[in-house]
Amino acid sequence: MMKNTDKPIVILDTNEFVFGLIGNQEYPIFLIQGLGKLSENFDFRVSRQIVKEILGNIPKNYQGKLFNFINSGIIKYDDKLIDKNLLVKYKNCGLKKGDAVIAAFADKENADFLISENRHFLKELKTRKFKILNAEQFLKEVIKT
Amino acid sequence: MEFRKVNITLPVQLFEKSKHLVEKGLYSNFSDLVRSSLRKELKEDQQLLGEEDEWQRLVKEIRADLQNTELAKMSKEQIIKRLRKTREKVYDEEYG
Repeated sequence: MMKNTDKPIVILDTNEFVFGLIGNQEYPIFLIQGLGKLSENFDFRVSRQIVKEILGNIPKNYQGKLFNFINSGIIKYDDKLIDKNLLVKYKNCGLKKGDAVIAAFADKENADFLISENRHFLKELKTRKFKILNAEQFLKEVIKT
Repeated sequence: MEFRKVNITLPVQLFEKSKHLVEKGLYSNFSDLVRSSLRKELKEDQQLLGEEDEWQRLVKEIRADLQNTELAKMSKEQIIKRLRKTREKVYDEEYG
């Protein structure tokens, strides 16, 4: 698939939103707070799986507000399911079934970065298709450039 | 300029590497190295935070809303465990 953007494509995993919006992890908070400014230089995307996971972890009365927040234009939301062949490819890389959906989404979107605090991604998935970083590593890389 | 003396605890390896930089003449002494590193770190954080924009106000508002939720009372490890369960549940609903 060809990229339809000049900006590097960045997939944000569920844990970045949860730690950034609820937790007290310093770098995910910086990342989520900085998305407005960072979106001038990066194309942030989330998948159906990621949004369902975020909404599934917060009380119903806040879900609408959070969905609007994710859909406010700073982040692109893709509501499509992932092709099963692509899922199998990442399951065969040793990823757990749910993690394979996220990696397959990054692959489908031709992402440059997958940002996650998930140690399984950081340790187990060896791919040249996209760079897997946590929020701290990503923000430090952004500052360097 | 007013100064304050502080005691810090460092991993031995980090201290040894830092000492090496001082010995090589990159910094006049260990305090100079620490001051310089802190200035760099603060500058980076400042760049990240910058002025508050519309998005940041929205994030603050949502953070305030969510502080009384169950998740906000959990440790990092508990949250990771919970997210892992949700990930599997959503997968089963969508692809199972």
